[in-house]
Amino acid sequence: MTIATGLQLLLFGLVWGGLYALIASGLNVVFGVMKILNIAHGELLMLGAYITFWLFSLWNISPLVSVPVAAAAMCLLGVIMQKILVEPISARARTPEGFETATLIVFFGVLLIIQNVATLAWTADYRVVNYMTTPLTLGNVSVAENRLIVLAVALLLSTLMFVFLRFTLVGKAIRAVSQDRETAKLMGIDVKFMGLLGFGIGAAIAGAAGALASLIYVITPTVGLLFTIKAFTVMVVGGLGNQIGIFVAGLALGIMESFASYTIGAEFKDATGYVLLIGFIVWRSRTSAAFAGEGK
Amino acid sequence: MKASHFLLIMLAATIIAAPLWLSPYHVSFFVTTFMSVALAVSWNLFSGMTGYISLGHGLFFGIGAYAFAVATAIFGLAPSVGLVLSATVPALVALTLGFVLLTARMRIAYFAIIMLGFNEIAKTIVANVKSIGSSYGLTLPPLTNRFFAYYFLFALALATTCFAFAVHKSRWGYGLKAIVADEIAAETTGVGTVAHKLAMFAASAVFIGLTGAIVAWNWSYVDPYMAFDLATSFNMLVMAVFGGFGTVIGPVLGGVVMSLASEILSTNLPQFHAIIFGVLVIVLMIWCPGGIIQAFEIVRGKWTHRARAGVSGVIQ
Repeated sequence: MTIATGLQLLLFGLVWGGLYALIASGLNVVFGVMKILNIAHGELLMLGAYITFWLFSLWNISPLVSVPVAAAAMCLLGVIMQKILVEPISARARTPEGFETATLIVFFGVLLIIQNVATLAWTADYRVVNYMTTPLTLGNVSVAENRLIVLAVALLLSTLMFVFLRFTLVGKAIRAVSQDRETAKLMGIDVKFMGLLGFGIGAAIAGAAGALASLIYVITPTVGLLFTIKAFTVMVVGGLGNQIGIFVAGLALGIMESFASYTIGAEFKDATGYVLLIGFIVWRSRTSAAFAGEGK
Repeated sequence: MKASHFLLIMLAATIIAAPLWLSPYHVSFFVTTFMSVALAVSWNLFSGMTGYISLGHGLFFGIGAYAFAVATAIFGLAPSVGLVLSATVPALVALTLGFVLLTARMRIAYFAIIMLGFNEIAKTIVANVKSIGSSYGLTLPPLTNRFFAYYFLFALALATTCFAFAVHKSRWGYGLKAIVADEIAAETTGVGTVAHKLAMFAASAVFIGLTGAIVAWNWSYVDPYMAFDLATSFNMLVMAVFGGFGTVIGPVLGGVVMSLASEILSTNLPQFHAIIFGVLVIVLMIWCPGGIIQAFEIVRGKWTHRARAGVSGVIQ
């Protein structure tokens, strides 16, 4: 492997990694605040990607404009799901384990619905957004413009998320609820509203990430689960609630996959991610009581 | 003899005699139904009875199918040996995975995704090993008796259900209920939680592995994408939850209803029944977590306080 190839792979990995980090930062808010594994998180991303595709191919609207549009649409969908799905279960759940099981199954149902409605509405054809695909050459590395855009927007949004959660009052309240729901309630935080807000923000990030993903990946109705798994891997490896850890883990996963596809073959790209995830969870469950202890 | 026993025996006798007058189309429909029931009950045997949701139990289906295919098509062993292997290999894999995953505490969400991950890893490995056909798959020796799959899967579905019933009624079953309700409390009061979880994991793997072998033999062909299709794993969950998560008869009903629904709806709009089942799973989980079994019993006014505590204790 020459240095130029190495740099090329590094850059490709960074683009994907930035996207993974962004999606994971949204999933983290949902998992943190509500203790829900939203297995349909990637389906929101898929819907965001389709919104971008249709706006672009029907009215030639720039995908960059679609980023906030997709985010707003998915935010609305997220808030609705929190209201009609999560809150009724939350009101009845007696144990955290029961809540985790019930919500996992419910969001699995959501995955089935969104995926199949999308297939009915838009067929299973592969869709591609051809936007700013001219390659830029920097020294001996060449990269399409749209990849740089994806990287830049993903980094920008990740930074905004970080600043929001770290420095604003609402962001601090969200983190407080993630860390200790009961104490947060005692401190006067509206836990229910934070749940709604957290789900809305997480869904909005997924929509925005979908708009970005449509620029560099083929869109199909079944593309979501793959992104859910990637985001989940990044979130777990980076550390729940750890914004910087998640960011670093996202970039690391992107770079690792990029080099793995080059060295051992593209067909093993996703499997390496799974191996990382499983190895990490097994290792941490055995060495850290705090990691294993939450929920069952 | 109670009337219900008599009805059950009549039902079994009808099913056994049915292929005499059923058309090949109906026989193949029943093959699918028995397969669905066996899979749903087996999934529930582990996930329903311990509370650990698995999103990748199709792993054992694929391993069973491939154990059988490799034994018969590559090594030329007798089908009976292949069937023994398709039960033991998944069991060994389940015990190995179980020692890694189930001996330490683990969040439900993590376990669910890990199982999905193992299914995908297994698919990738099988698709890239040339000696077992890689992504092209393997052709199996044809099934000579056209009723074999019908009777074998019926027997398997019946055996799985009887096994689930026996576990449910036994001291072992009470241990499992304690684990679902509160694993730490169960452990402190002397329930061997690890042994309980491992045994159910291995048992579900045996039944699913055998189902995979018979289905592959019936297809007379197997490839990694069919054998390790995520839809297999997902359908198990949907059928079991639809029928009644953690109950004995629920998954049986779930398997029958889902096979019927997909038979009726799939021909015209394959996506349609997935959407309907998605909606049903959500609706049941929110308002009626005991599945259609609970819905029936509410309607019949038999949903006593004790039964409610039993079933919804499983899920909420």
